[in-house]
Amino acid sequence: MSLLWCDKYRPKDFSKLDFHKEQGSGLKSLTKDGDFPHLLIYGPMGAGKKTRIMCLLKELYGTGVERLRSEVMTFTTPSNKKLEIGTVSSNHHIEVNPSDVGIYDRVVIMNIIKNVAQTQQLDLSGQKSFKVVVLTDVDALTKDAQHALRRTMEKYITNCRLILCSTTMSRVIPAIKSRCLCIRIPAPTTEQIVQVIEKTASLEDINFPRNLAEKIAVLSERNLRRALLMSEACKVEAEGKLTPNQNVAEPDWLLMIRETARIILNEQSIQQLKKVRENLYELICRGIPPEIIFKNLLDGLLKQCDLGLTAEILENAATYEHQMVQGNKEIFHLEAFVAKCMCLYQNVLEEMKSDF
Amino acid sequence: MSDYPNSDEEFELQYADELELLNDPEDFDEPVAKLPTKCTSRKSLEFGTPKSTYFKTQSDLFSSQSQNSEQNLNTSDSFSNDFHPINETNNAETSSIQNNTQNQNTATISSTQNDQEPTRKRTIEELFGDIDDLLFQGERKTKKAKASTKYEEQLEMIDKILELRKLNQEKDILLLRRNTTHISADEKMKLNISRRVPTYPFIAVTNYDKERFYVRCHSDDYEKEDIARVVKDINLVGTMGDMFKETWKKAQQILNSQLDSEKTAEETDIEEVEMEEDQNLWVDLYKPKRYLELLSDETTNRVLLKWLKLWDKVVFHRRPKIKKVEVDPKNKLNNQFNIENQLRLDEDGRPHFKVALLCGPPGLGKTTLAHVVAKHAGYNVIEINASDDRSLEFFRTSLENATQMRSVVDQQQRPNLVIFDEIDGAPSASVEFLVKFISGSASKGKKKEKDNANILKRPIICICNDAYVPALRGLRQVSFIVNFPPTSSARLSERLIEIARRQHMKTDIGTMQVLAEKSKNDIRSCLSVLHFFKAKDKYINLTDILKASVGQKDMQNGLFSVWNDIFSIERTKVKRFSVPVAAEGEDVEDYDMSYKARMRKILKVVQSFGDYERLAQGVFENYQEMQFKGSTLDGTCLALDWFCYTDRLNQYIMEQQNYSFSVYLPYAFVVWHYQFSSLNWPKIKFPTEAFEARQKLKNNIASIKELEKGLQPKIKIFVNQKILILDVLPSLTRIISPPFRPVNLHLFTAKEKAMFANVVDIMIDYNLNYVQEKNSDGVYEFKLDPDVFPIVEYPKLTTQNFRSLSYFNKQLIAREVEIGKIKSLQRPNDQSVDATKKKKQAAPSISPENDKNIPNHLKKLQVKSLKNATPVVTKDFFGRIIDKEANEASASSGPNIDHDIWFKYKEGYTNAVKKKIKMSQLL
Repeated sequence: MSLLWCDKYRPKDFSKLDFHKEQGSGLKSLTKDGDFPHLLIYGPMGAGKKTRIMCLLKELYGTGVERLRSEVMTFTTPSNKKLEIGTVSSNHHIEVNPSDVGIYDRVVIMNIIKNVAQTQQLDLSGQKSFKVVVLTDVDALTKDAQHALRRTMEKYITNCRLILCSTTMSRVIPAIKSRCLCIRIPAPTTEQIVQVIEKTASLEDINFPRNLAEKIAVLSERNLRRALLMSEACKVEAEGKLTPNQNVAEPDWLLMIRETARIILNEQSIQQLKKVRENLYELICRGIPPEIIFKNLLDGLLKQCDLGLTAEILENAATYEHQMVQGNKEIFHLEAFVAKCMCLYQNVLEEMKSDF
Repeated sequence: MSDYPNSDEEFELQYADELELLNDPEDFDEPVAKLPTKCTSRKSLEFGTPKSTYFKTQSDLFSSQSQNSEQNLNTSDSFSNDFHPINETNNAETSSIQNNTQNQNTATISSTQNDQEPTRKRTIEELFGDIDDLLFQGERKTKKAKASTKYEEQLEMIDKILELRKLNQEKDILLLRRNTTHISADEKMKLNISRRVPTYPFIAVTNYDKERFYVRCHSDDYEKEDIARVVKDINLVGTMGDMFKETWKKAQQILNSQLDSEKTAEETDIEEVEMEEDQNLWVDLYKPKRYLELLSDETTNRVLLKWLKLWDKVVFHRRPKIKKVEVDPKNKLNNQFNIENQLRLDEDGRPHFKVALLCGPPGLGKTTLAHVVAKHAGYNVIEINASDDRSLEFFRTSLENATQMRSVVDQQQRPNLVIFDEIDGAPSASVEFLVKFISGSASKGKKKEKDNANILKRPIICICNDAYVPALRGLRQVSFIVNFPPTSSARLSERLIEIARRQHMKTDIGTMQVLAEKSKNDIRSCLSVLHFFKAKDKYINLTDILKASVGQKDMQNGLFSVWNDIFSIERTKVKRFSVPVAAEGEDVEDYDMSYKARMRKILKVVQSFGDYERLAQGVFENYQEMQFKGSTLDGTCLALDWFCYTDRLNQYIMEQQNYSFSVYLPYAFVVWHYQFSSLNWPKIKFPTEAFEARQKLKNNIASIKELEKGLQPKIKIFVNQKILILDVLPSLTRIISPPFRPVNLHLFTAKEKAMFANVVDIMIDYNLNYVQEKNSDGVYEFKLDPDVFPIVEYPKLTTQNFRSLSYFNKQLIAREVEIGKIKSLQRPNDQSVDATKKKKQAAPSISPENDKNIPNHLKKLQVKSLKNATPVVTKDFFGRIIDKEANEASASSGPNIDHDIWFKYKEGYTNAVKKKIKMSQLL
């Protein structure tokens, strides 16, 4: 059984964690009493949130949680629409991503928690008296669903504990934040990533150049999963002979966004705007979340333009992203932002010309 | 060149048959249409000659005969009309006689015509006898009987004519006698004048030529005597003798009374018309009743009539007049009138299209056209419109009734024609039934053998406003679509002025033209406006029409015209009727290119359209193509901000269901108009980008979900959609396509083999596989099963190329992955597999012991200890595994007496031998 490195060498125990060890031990002690509050675990992608959740569950229930099965549950909405949602569960916990069903997530939350909470563990000896429901992507939940969550959280606290997992706290309503113990899992530092890559390489019996590892660590934007996947891809590309200045394949969508940023700064006209829009549509239709596009576009822009526009562009980006969340059609807001940037850049260039 | 006809001749040739079409059926109309003219001709006769009352009674006699001869009388009328001027020059007495002879003439003519008539023209009976195809042959006899009675009628007529002739001859004798008396009177006159000096008392008279005449002087008594004698003479020879005066008086009386009655009739007629006017809408009052009165576009009318005439073969058993259209590439006109090719007959003699679909905006006269054309072609119209129940059941019965039966009550027994008005509103089930009915498949099951009785034999005309309603999709394909072009406003205004004149309304042609334009050539609304003005009872001028808000429908313009308005600045021009109603106090000059006016216009257009979201999308996807002024992007930024604003507002409205905010949406269009509009003609394309992007996204999300579903649970808990798209897939696609050599698996180095195994395992874990697919070029390719490549790849990026595995490698991988997947499915049952294996190993160990118990004579049949070795799996030709054990067992176990149940092997295939095989044994 060989897996991708990122899955294969995933720590299964708090003791095997590679970084944030103090936090790990803290979490471990949390379970010592045999009970813990609802948790809201948040942090950037690839920091190890899920890893820690699984460690926690294992600490609670033992190896039983590793026997996983995936099921498809069906629900009926009040409007008689049949919904299907995939869940992963063990005897002790169930994991579900309610935002898979879009606006019907409220129904999923209500049903699942009730299902779980209404059935008590029969064998209480040596077992915990509660089950755990892991909800992922909580930040993508609708407001309705979050409000539905707050009461159920309190009502069924004797029978189930919730572990919420999200990348950002900002979209979680304060009522839920206050009901949970919020734990932030920060992204690993580049050194930590390098260490992990080297450790993995040694386990795989590969000579991994340190320079390359550092390069990957930087390019991965401190996302450990991405870093490991990239290094594995590198290994495959290099056919075993890894060289320090080897080309590291970055995700194509990232390159695409950078290319778009380059187009914006290259020339400011309606025609360019048209090209930009084509690129943006390409990205959107491949399911790249518009926030990610916004963020990386901003990165690309700020890296390449240093005309004292940083503050202004940042402000605009913030405004337009905020508006985008309120709206429905991302392309409008993205394009408005792009046009604004073009406009600002053009004005500065004109001023510089007139100065000379 | 002379071979080809010139353009005029060509046109005539082209339309010769159509002219015939137009002329041919007039015999239907004639009794109705020509009636008034006939009356007037008769009247004039009566004025000229009082004696013609006699003639009239004669003609009454004729008219009472039969419908057939009445037609002939028509012609005789016209004959007498021709003679009329001569009658007037003659003096009163002779004219009456003349008339009689003339009458005799016409009578003979009519009698000869009577003989010819049935051969030349169709009589009503002949025409509608054809409908008998619907009924059965029983009626044939009655038809014959009818024919015989007709013959008798004609005989009678001839007799009558002979009588009349005799009568006339007698009159001729009288005439001769009278002439002689005239001559004697003249001779008498000669005795009273002389040139010489007479003997009797005289008066001398000198004329201009200085000739002297001597006129005799009578005494007064003599004069009186003489006059009395002359009068007596004349009266003696007069046709009616002393009765003359009385007859004259009577005639005068009859004439006067007739005139009076006609006058009163006219008066009452007028009154009646006025009464009707009060009761009826003008739309009905002035509805065209004949083909030539139609207002709609002439080509459209003709096309429909032509189509309807094609039914003649089936309905009337007449050969339809279609010119054989020779396919001549040189003849441009042929290609131009391509529609003729559509008007072909099918094998049943029916037109290729069984249904005509008239479509066009309201108020152009579609329904009227259908009715008039149907009547013109001799059909009885059955109309089913939106006011009727149009459920499937009702629809079916009415359709079948109309097409397969005929009215018994109706005297004329014309064939039916069904008009489905407003069919775009009918339930789609009904329309589907209609389509089935047309194509002839609606007949139920068994009847199909004698299907001929059931096929559609009557024309159907459907009328709709919008041919592109989804419900009509099926119908559109099987029907002959006639698109209704708008009526020309010149024709419409002419008709309007005529109507106005008839209604004694004072107006002028210019006003009517404006009215026509204002209502977008909607005849109905024009008439309603006129009717409205009639109530005011004064001269209607231009300003009245301009100011009137009536007749202006809330016209919904098409999407493209709205976009057009947004993207273009209208050039200033004198606008006649766009004086805004709301801004009466303002100057007309204000209505030019001012921002205010433009804003008002855009708001109006956009608000009346309503679908803001689609409009906005159209503006968004088109603005980049527009050539608007402005070197900087400031304006664009502003416009885009408004896009953001509308998007947010829309989202808010949707979320809160608070539609009161949607009043603010149209203002964005004003900004976009100010920003993007130009004087150039905008080229607008339909917005599809967003839709396409959404479709692609849907597809991609679907394949991601597919992938997610198949993931191993232990991987699944650590990933979600976002992570898959952003992190995993871009690297994964690289990891699973290492640089393999395209050689056989056996030739791989150990390292390569390990790599290969790794790839296969990863693909199994991620539920990926290669599937053979035929691409558009017809070449087989291996594609990833949840095809994630389109999600990862960006064809626009040239910086990085994906390495794609060779076909051969993909095939290898695909095979291995299949095997691996089956293995992994088997894994949960590993223990049970082991158990069976053990049993199997145990089983053969028993057999040697059994050998000993077998009787000697059978021993040689036993194959020696084959099963102790590891079971060798052999495959047959097709790659199926041959179950040796089973075969052998069946071969050998025949005489096995140890077992309770045994069977004998018989030659040939048997299903009796079955054995459970685990997948693991096969792999």
